[in-house]
Amino acid sequence: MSTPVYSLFELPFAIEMTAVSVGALSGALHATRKGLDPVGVFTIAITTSVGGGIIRDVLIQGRVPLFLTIPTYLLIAAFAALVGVAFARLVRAAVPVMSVVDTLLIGVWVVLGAERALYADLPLAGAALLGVLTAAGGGILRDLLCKDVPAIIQPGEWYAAAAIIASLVFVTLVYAGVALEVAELATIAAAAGLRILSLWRGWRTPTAYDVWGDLEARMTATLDSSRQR
Amino acid sequence: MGALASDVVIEGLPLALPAWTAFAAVGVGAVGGAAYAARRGFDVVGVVLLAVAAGLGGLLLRDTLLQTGTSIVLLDPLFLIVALAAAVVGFFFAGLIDRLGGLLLVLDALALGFFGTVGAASALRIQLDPVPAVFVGTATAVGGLVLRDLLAGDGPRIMRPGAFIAAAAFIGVTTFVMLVEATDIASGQAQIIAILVVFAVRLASVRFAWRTRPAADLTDRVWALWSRPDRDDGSGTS
Repeated sequence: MSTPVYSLFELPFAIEMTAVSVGALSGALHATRKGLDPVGVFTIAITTSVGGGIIRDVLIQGRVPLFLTIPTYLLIAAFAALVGVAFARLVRAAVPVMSVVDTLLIGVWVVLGAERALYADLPLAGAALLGVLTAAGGGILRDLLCKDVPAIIQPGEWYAAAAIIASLVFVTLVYAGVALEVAELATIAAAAGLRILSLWRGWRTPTAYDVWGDLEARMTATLDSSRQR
Repeated sequence: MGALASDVVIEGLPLALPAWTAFAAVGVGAVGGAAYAARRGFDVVGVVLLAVAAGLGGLLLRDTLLQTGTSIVLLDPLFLIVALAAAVVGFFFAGLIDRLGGLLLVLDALALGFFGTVGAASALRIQLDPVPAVFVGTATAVGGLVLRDLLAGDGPRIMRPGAFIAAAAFIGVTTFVMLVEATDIASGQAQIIAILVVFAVRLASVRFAWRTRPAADLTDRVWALWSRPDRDDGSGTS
């Protein structure tokens, strides 16, 4: 129980803490933009930063969620929230830097989710789902607490879509028996690459394509044109 | 005779249905979730997420409440594969699914009873009392729907006035728990009976337009009875 879980992973703990602090900062920014009070800012900051991990750990079960067993998570998140409250303008100025870092962090979150799932003896499919939920869960919880429709399920920039593909890349590489470090780096690169590519080419996440309605429309169009002849 | 659904979703409890019914129930819920996301104009992530939520949410909720270890839907890859396949179907054929609304309603009503009885049976199996078992069963039945609505940013549909969904599940699950606890009927037969009860109540509520009503405040009525001047005993029913 008391084994420090992070030492079992290839990703340095500092990277995870970077991910937590960027998550908390962006959460705090989101909350100040929404005009929430300091309690709200702290709540949203902490939820955004450790929410994905909470979902992962609750679903895996069997141990107290990591952010409660290692105080560093909450301390870092709270500190970032404090910075977010006190220096909102400064943080806003740092948004471009944060989005660059955040792009690299999508894959980090995926790895942090999927790898811990594998460590808890989950099969690859479950690990892939938890990878995505760890990456996207914080944002989902943030939006739900703010009473918004989660941003990730609305057509727009690639974020969770990149996480889904990166998560599949990770479990595929693990299945193929690639060294863990290589799989991790490939996952982070895949997520960041997809996000950068989508931003560069202006891709929006695709919405459902109604095959049936399309066929029907085409058929009526053909019938109409043949009737006119 | 292959594996039983009870082996897949709860080990050891003798439920009578074959294993594929568990995956079929998940698939029906997931297709509904995916089509809902497509209709609402959500993107591919939304379709996948709502398919997973609607199909697997009930069992995830059950396993989180009962704390019996990592959820079965994460341990058996087939559950996720079924949900993903349902998401693909919903992504491309939402229009067709809407056309087949009646069929989906019928299948959904069967899945509702299935999840309800499975949830209640798992609770009974770890020696929970009948009342909590009814709660866990009902939560398992409607958990997918609630999670879907929450993730879509809506208030859960089951809590708003409308056709019987949670009410149907509650009636059926109560039937199941009473049959298992108070009679000698085998749990497998009790499950079939309960699923039919849920099915009948759910479809009857749609067919005859029964609607759950908003909460009514009885304060004034009770007060009027109580303070009526000609009452001759304390019962208030004179």
